[in-house]
Amino acid sequence: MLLTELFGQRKFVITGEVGPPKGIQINDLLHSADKHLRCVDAINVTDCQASMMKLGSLATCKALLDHGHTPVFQLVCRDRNRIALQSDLLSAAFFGINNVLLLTGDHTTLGDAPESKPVYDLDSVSLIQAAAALEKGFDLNGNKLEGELPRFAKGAVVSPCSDNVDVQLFKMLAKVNAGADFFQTQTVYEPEKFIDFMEIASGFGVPVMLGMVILKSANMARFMNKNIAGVSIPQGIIDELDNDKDKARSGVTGVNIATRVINECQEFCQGLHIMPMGWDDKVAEVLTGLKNKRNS
Amino acid sequence: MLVTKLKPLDEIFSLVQKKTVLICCEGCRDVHSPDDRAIATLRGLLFSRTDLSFVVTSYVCYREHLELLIQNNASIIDDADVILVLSCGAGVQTIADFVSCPVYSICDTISLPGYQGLTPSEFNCIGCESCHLNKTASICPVTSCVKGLVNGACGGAKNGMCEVDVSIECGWVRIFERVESRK
Repeated sequence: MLLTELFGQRKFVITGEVGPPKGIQINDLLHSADKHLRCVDAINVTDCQASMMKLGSLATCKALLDHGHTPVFQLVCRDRNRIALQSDLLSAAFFGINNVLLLTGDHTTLGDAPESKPVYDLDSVSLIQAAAALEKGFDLNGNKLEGELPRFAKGAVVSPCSDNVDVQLFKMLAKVNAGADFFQTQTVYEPEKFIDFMEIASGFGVPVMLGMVILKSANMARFMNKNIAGVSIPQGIIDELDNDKDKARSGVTGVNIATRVINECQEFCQGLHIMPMGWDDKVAEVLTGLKNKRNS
Repeated sequence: MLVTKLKPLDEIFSLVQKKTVLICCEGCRDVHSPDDRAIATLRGLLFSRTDLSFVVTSYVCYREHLELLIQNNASIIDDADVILVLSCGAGVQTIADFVSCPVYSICDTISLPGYQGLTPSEFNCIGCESCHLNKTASICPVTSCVKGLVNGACGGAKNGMCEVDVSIECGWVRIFERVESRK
């Protein structure tokens, strides 16, 4: 199922996210997805997230697909040139993996192989253009594809709470013009900023899914504030996590914060992207707390 | 060796304004820029479209030298609506850092191996063959972004600083700041 079809049905679309392991043992990942992530429409699979060498996104997507899930294949420009990127898009379509999230990717120096050579032959905008070209039957160089054409729901990312929203909106518009079909946002904890952002972004006419990381501790929140671009967690939320450490550790506080923020933002967006960072079992709890239940 | 080629004439004509200054850099000894006849033709075509001033110089990438050039030509440069530059990207960026009016490149610099000229400049040009400076407030996104992104910022910058090195300002944030300051 293409996510674009769900948006077309005016469904509030919900996606989860898993990160492949550093190795080939993915039974735990699949077991957790089977047990806890049946409640979402699709599951993103990160592509060597934070420049850490991991099992491939495409292989993990295929395993999830075989388990009856709808995967979203994340693809970054850091590690592949345009030949490999387009080839991997075709490979995904060949497997029946048609939902993709196309990103530039963190720089290699941030990961566990900092000396590796970054590629960035394409960027997120030109990668979306490449996917759109493949759908029309051509590669980026205008060479014709043979036979049945691939179809994609082409996802992209944006950070509504970035310290420079104009820069974000400029790039978002470039992605829309390149053919982006939907957006997933960086995690949001300041509804007012998100609502201000959506006042402009909704004019682009492309569905936006609110991003949400379930916070596990005050230290995690402080770390994200310091190190993760586009993330801004207000002191009040950090205090909330600090005040009752047992409640934070058990996930009650994190789930409460997530549902509260989502409830404030839900009417302004078209979907939700939950990044549980291993807390797959909390996803259903977050969804249960939503004011407006899904109209599925 | 440095090789430049003129941008299409239509594109160059779209850049001219009422008072246009054309600066041609002949600095690097082994410059293969468009030949004199092509430049003379271009000058003639520009004269018919704008109030044109023409300056031939060398090493516009060299800050102290450029400062003198601007002082010596202050009457025309201070009055200019736009400055068109025939030089490598480093030259265009150095001029744009000095003046307040828009500065546009009228050529693309072609990458060649080996010595590329003097360029003792904080600005760089890698000769990407499709100069982006006219769309990016004369700050090169290829050399000022560690990922060389030409379609906008990657989203990794925090407080305007690059995700790779927090001592470097994000090139795309600089581009936006300059656009904002020129509004």
